[in-house]
Amino acid sequence: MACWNVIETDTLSSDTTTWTTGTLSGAYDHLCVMMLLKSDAGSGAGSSYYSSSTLVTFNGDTGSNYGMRDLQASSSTYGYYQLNNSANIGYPLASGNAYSDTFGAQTWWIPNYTASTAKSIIIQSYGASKSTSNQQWGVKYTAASWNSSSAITSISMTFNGGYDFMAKSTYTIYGINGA
Amino acid sequence: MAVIEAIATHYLEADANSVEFTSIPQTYEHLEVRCSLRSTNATAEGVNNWMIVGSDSASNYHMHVAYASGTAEGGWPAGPDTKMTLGQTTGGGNPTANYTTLVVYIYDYTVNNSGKTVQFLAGQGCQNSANLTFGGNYQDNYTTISGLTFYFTSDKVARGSVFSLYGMNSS
Repeated sequence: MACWNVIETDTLSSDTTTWTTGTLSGAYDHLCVMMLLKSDAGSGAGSSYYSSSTLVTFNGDTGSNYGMRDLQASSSTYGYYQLNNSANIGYPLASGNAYSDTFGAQTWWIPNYTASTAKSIIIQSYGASKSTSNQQWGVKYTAASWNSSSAITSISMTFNGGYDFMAKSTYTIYGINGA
Repeated sequence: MAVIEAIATHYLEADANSVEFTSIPQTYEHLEVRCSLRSTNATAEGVNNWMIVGSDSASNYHMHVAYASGTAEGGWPAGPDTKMTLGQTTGGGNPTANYTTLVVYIYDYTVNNSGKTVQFLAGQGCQNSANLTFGGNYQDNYTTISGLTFYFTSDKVARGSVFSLYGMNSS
């Protein structure tokens, strides 16, 4: 079997509030998810919504089973944020709708996603923007955990604030095998 | 077809003004570049990495990063600029054995109805002067990407540097 395999890819043809994958095969060792995301927050050019952040759950679990820490910058000052016993993994970045053509990027690495232990995840995210003003752009590195003995069989995303994922947003989920 | 395929690799056997990938196939969804690189700068511990896409040297690049360098840390936005930055590479201020590790993701490089989003992670490892940078660049250009050029402002890419370009399929 190939080392890298495409499990699922999806590109939105219309705006969507909640974006959920299909059932993910447990046949691989690790997952990598690559996404280009944009929210409809704001009303286009000139709005104040340069970036948005996602909220992510696994297997429909909205219990207080998630935790995260991130390192981030959206100005010249470095910062961090944390959530303990949260109902989701917050707040990896995407682009807002201040510019019509920017899409933010997220890369997720989920090793041992079928393990019976808690799952550890690292996420790099970028709220792509054309602005250099404070809080009008953002980059983050996030460490997250899902405290569940279940294999990850689906991933569901919403935007913080309830905004829609805009059409042309896209993700691809890769399954990675060991030797 | 494999999901990830190696498109090209440059092994520098001599110092070079730049490293270029040309005629990149338009058959993948994303591109990934993995590099081990060093600048020929004689004294600097860190030298900015630059990249341009194809022949686009217009002011179309918007850069946003976070960094930790020595005891300093912070964020750094810049643009519009004529090139994108991909963190810092070690120079002559560090031992000759030290090279920087750089990973670059170029998303949806064949779309022609939006700009292009690039993420990167750069680690300038050294026993007495390490530097970590991560972030992204937005290229405000709808043209599909068929070429990449890596370079430094006034220094060469040092002998021993390696750049590998991969294509990632979505089916």
